[in-house]
Amino acid sequence: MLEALLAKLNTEEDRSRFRVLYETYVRLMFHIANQYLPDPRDAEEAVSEAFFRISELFSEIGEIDCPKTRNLIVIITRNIAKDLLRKQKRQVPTVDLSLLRAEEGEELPLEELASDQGAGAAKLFDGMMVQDAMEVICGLPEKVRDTMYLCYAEDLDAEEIAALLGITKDAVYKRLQRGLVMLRERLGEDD
Amino acid sequence: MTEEMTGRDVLKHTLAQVYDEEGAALEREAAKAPQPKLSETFTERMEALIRSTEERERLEQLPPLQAWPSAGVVHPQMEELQPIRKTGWRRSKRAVRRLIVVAVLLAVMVPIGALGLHQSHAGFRLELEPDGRSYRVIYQTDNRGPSLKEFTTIKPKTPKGFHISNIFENDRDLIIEYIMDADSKKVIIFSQDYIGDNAQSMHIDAENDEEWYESIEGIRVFCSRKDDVLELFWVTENQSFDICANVDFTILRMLAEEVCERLIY
Repeated sequence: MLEALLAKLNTEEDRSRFRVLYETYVRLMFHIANQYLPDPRDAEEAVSEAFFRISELFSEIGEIDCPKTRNLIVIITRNIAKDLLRKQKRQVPTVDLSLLRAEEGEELPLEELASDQGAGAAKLFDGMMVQDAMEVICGLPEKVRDTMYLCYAEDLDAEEIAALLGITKDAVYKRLQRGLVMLRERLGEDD
Repeated sequence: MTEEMTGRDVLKHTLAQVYDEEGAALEREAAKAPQPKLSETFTERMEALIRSTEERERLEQLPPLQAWPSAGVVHPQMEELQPIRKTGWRRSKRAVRRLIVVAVLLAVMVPIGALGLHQSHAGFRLELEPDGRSYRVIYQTDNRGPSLKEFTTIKPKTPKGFHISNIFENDRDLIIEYIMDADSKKVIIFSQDYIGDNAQSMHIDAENDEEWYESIEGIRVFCSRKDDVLELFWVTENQSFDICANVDFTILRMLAEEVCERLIY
């Protein structure tokens, strides 16, 4: 019985998934990292950190060569590269006025933003066409848009998003909250 | 079913479309860009990560032993296990596995000289990584342990009230996963690794709630706790051992005692 089990463990198919992912996306990941980090060593650091994060959630990844996985990898790599660049420039995070407005204003149920799979944000899109919605979504800041994509399109929970983006769960909720506030502003909802 | 899309569908489709288009454009650009020249360090690091992820993935995908036709009678719990794996069970196990990291990530090989380790005795020390989130375990061997050819695995007795759900073994690693009969979310993962002749570095989570050392059969064992997950780690000669679980500490200590006894005698 044990021999049969071990034979199963050592099949090529089982061995190759992460390697396939690496070979499929390493070039794309370097291309993204290089856009922010011209030094090849920095780009390598960003890409290896991205692979490490992907490996942490690898069991959640189904098909390797598909747009969904590619999008996930683009987001992770870009965020890591931008973080690294910011660290190098020693940038102090700027105060985000729109986020402050959200905090000062209506108390939004932060955790529900993620747990209800975007019911609040989704409601704003009732009756809209995808083409019209694209314009609104594209106008959102990248980090807000990335978080919304991971939450609403990839169906990841706040903990998983936090792990992928290297931020806290609270930061995930804040970004979703900020996205909702901005969408409300742009779509002209009064309530 | 109505053909009209709900707001949720519109949001989901829109986000997917935005990222699909952007991803496709980046992919086209990347295909035209020159092939990146990868350093040796990067390639080695990636190779280690690929290997460790492959092993973890294999362990994750394995059905419980009862699922194998040759195992005879199918355990009634087995049919329930697959759906559980996809939700809470898997997440719970992932939390456990994340902390094992010892069995998971063999990082960059570090020459002994570069680390300034000149004394020749078996043991290990922990160094906090610059990121403050993980430990580097630095160990050295005295070359008096078994060679890889002589390396034999120690399979501890299954703790009472548990059963073996998965087992992985090759010429230098053994990983056994035990699941509590009464609660499939209670998991123990035991691993034994051959660590070769050189000092190496590995990663252990440093964000523990509690850390302490225990002496088990005269062997210094590093113990840590984070939430409900406990981990015991020790090194002897050229082998490392790790027990990680979300069960009572006394069960883990008994398991460690049995392994340490067998190591000595």
